[in-house]
Amino acid sequence: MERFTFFDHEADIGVEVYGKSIEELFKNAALALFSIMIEEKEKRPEGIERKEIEIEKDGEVLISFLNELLFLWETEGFFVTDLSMRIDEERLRATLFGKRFDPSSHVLKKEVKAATYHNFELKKKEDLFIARLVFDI
Amino acid sequence: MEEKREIKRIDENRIIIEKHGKMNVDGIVYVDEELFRALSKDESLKQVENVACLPGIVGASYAMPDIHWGYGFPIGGVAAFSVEEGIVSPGGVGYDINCGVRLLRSDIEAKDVGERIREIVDMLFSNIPSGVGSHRKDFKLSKEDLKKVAREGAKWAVDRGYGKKEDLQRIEDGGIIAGADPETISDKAYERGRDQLGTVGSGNHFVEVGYVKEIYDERIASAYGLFLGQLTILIHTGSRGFGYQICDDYIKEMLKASEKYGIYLPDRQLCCAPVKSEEGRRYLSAMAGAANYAFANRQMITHWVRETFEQIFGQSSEKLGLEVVYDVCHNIAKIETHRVGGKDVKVCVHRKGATRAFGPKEKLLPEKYREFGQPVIIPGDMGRASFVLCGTQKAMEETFGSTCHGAGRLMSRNEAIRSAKGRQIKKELEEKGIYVRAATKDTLLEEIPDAYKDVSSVVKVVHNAGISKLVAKIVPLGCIKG
Repeated sequence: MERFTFFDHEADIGVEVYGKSIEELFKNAALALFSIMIEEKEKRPEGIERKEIEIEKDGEVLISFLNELLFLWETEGFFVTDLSMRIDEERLRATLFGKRFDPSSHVLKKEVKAATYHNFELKKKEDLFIARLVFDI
Repeated sequence: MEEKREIKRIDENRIIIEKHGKMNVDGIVYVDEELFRALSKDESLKQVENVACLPGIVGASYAMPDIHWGYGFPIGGVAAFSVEEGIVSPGGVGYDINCGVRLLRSDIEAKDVGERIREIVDMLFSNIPSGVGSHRKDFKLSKEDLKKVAREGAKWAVDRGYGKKEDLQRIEDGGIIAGADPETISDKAYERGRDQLGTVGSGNHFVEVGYVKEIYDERIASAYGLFLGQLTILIHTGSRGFGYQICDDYIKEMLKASEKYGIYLPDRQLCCAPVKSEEGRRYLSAMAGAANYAFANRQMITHWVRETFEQIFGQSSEKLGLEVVYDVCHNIAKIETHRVGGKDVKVCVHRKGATRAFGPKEKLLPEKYREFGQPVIIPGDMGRASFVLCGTQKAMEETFGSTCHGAGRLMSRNEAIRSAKGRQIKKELEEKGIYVRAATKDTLLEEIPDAYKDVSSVVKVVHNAGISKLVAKIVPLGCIKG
């Protein structure tokens, strides 16, 4: 199964993300976001850091989550390569695994300003969760 | 809504989308036939209609000829809402609050620069931080410092030696948008903005060295300090992560506010609150803080441009005549008074990818320019041209004193990358005499000239429609991109 596919949007970037569970959908959305921005010259297992985050379940939690990842990226240069998470009535708790940007092993392709609410959709089709998102570039 | 859409041509430069469905006013788009054809493949006209549905909109939902598909509001959109009954929307400003352009003039003749353009661009690239995590190591800001930046804008930078007092007079609103309240800005925004002041950022942001190739209005060009063959510098950037975070914080608040005030939203990115509500007031105060950060950002970059030229030419920037011509915002909401139906009305004008273009005699303009009208700076793509225009009385009457902001995209970023595949963009540009340095890998491909409408056809429409007047054309020699 594909994790995500991009669709054309003039000024920005659209992405359709898939997941067999909500957790997988969130993880694939995070991977889609960082695939727009970063290319690893070679995938190395070392240098993986772990980070815990908590987000209040307020509004569109997927968009809040992605914008939280952009906050971590801009303030710490941290990008996600894997994650696990759970959502309850009140909040989302995630354990993020990722790396700090290092120009000797990573290439910055471009920066994303935000995940937007424009035409945002999250639906379940048979056993698959599908989200459509537009990132502001 | 789309089924009932009726589009009529008003004249050769404008079309009207007649009010239908939930629209409160008509949509008016400044496009000629050729630019109109390019619009058919995207959703931007629907976005013009969506904006027309918002409460308290006055006049019409306008779009400039560089209109293209954005998120929420179309890019190139202008919409004014009554302060009494209308709304303010963070999506009508965008994430990059006060993204804008500043033009610097000089007394240097481009013909005397020649091959030194490489040296200039390389030195600009090392003196002005662009790219991830890059910032000047010679200053670090605390949250308290940033609160001052949010309150004082470009003046904060000038007071600390980045430029001079006279620069402030040649910035929209003097480089300080009134009403900023640092307490309406989140800790996250301060954290995100701390290391980014004085940085260009990626996307279409740049610092470009060019020269005046053509003059259309000698009298106004001379008042703006421009002459044929003169070297100029354009700075295009905004409020960086500070603004993105403020926009995101307030979109969350406005989604709730829209529900609270029972506002119909055709797209959630248009979420908003009445201008006079607590939510609306708080957003405008925070937005003013981000706009002021952007003015300070362009002011600091101006200072480093001056230092770069001083190092290369071995003369003071005063001797080199490096002065600010003007600095305009193109993502902003402002409370302004305009004449509507024979009465002066206070409105909240949203310009999203549009530029203020005040005509002659407006008291907000610096004295030096008041007789002529406001300088309007329209950057093009990196391979073609940029333009200097002048605001007009007709813009005051028709578009709440607004005009276009740039070329407008024609291709999506992915299409641009596909089309640039296998091409040596840097080399192609060098063959045209343009030396470019970029910090991020995709930028050059996504920003290829073919990805944009020809800016000449965009400015031709606003000139012919009379909402601004052509003054000069600037062509690029070198550029740094984030």
